[in-house]
Amino acid sequence: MNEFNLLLTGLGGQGVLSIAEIILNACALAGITCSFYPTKGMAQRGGAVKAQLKLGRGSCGPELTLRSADAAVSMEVSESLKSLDYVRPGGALLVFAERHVPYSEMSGGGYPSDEAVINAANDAALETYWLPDDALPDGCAANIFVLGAAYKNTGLNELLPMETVLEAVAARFPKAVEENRRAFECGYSFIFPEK
Amino acid sequence: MACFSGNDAVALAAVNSGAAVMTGYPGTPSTEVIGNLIGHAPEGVSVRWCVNEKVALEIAAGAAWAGQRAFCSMKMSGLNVCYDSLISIAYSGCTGALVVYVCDDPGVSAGMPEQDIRGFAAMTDIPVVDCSGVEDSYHMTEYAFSLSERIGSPVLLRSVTAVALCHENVDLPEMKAPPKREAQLRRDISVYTKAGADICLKQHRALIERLDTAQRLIHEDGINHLDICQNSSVGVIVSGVLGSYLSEGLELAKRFGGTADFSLLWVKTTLPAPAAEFEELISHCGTIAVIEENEPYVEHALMVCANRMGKSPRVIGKEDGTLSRVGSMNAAHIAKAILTAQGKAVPPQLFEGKNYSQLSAKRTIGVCAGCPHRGTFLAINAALKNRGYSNADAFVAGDIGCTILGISPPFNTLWTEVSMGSSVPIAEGFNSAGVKTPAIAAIGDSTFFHGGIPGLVNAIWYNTDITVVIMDNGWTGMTGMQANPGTAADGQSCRPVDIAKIIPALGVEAFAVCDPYDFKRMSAVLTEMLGKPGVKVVLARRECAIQAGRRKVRYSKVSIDPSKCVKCRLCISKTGCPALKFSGGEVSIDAKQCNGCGICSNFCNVGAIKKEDCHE
Repeated sequence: MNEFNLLLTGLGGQGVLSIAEIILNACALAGITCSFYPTKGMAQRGGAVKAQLKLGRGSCGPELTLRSADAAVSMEVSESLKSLDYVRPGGALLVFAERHVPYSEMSGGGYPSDEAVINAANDAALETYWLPDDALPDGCAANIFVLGAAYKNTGLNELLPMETVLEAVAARFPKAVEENRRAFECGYSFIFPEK
Repeated sequence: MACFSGNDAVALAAVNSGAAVMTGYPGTPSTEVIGNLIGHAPEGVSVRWCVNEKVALEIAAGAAWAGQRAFCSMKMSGLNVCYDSLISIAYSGCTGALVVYVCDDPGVSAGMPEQDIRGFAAMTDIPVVDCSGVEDSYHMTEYAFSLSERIGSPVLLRSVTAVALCHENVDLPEMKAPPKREAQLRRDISVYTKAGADICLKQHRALIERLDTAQRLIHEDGINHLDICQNSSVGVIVSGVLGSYLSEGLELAKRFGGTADFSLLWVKTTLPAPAAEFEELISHCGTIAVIEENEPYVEHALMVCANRMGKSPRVIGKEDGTLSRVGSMNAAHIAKAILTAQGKAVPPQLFEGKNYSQLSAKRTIGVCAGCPHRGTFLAINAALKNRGYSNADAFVAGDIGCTILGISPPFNTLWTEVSMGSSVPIAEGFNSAGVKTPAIAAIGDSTFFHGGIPGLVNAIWYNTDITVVIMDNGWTGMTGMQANPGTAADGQSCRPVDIAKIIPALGVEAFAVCDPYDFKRMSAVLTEMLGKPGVKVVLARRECAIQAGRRKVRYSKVSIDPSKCVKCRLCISKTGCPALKFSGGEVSIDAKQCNGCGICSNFCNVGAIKKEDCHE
């Protein structure tokens, strides 16, 4: 595999765009072309964040078309639903199962259940990796933990050497190199239950 | 290789092209060009945020008339603001170079009209050069400077969100200090004024000649690439960023029976139209698909060219309904146009998904935890209620910027959003129409400086019965906290231009400065103001919570006493503060988000929210 399209979703403040920047920088280190198109709108105000990445495509337009992503990674349960239409059948969906319930839904039923998300992913014929938020080890940054799990399970490891990704993580957070290496490795070694 | 966004590439190329003066006003998606250069530009480059786009353009034009290379940056709405000056400057032309960088936002990522600034270029008769990708942004910026200086005219450098904000790893030159140029002085009223018909008609002729020269130069420089396919009578024209989707669009089209047999023209200058390339394509092709975002300017220019040649190719694009004038485009639109031009069926799955996103939680856009605007909106609502009105029967005009977040629940305060500074005159309009209930205008500090002052002066002139609430958080917030004339160097103390001194100087007697964190006082002041005649101004002053948070400011310690909390969740439903959580049957405060503003404590009927002074 030498081309890989990836869609990241989540909310402002969850570190979604940092994951994308790390992958972009890892690609630079590995000599792979990468286009990263962030959509952050009102991210600082808890709004939805999206990052569209195209690896190994050379010069290309930044938007993904429907069913063109090889994988999607979401930092939030409900936001993951926004990526399903963009992943090809058989592609991977990794969800970090953190729930950010908008205040307007705190007493209502408008927030989707885990089952609703998993059923939708099955309907879209995706390979789902459900990463419970309580699996996050103490002292680990959630986004780097998720990056480790995504690196191993979505196909990114077929393009990028792990040391290159870790080098990009260290370059992004030079004051917390060891903590983030551990977060990445914990995500990487997380065992998803057999279906 | 290093990582650049389209905006980064434009900034670098502008400096490396010798721009001595760079100005702008923040606006998504153009903001980073000036924002990233402030404090980082080499010596000899003057980079500044300006009070609005018109001022920014006029400064850049003055520098260009003094012989320098000058650059001005804004979003598309900003071009509307400065257009009066741009058209006059275009008729005069320029001595050095003047590049005006404007970002359109096809698909609307930032919530303003989905306009297409190429229409302004057509009305002004100045060239518009498109940035088609990150690396292309560098080269087209360099080209815009060179073209501007060679023809002696301002040049519009246009980008779109998907280019300006897209990041790639590319090899670009290092930033270097510009070669020093001495400023020139040349008084010539036949060029730099509009004094009389003789001068204006002469300038109009010169303007058209400059555009003709640009057309010749752009053709000679090979900026618009044409590849003729000898064994096909189908032609495809892609404009700007859409050219970068070509290989992917072709892959998609091939899956559904399309082929690569077509002539291709990649248009990077909508104006002047690439007439020579159009003529060659029209001579060769019976069917031509034109793929461009938003308005069909390239398509119309092609039709005019065909008409002049006495030819009538079948044109596939917006006019025949194949493509839409609304929204951004990608590889799927390329595939659709290719398939249509090649007489193949367009499969619905190109554009149809299963809409799983409809199952996701609806998120209203609200203000941040600790945002002072929360206090202001709640105080406006409380004052109206004290006077016996609801949000449905008292008009509150909104304005551009974070102010507009008051349209959303739980506030539902604002009624309108038009353009920078429009809130005060629109409130005056409601009042002058004979509306008997209070008319209020809510406007931010940067917006007030940008375009709010003339409206306020007008309201004072006519002694209009309106209440103006200036929401002064000290920063241009919505675009990412840029400085404005009211920004204090240390965030909170003295200000270069102080709104609190401007208002009394305008002769407003009913004027009060309030702290929006002090909900009780601010509601009381507003209640009193609503009962007075004439223009009332309330300056709601408290620094932006994000910007204060970056300096680790924490105003107090706010906590919930679980033994008193009755789980009514009024604190959540009234304030909508994202730092308040309800889960597992308990209301709690997220200490990471809470800055201790304490506004929520005003909405707890049982005294369960405690606010203690911070002694850290």
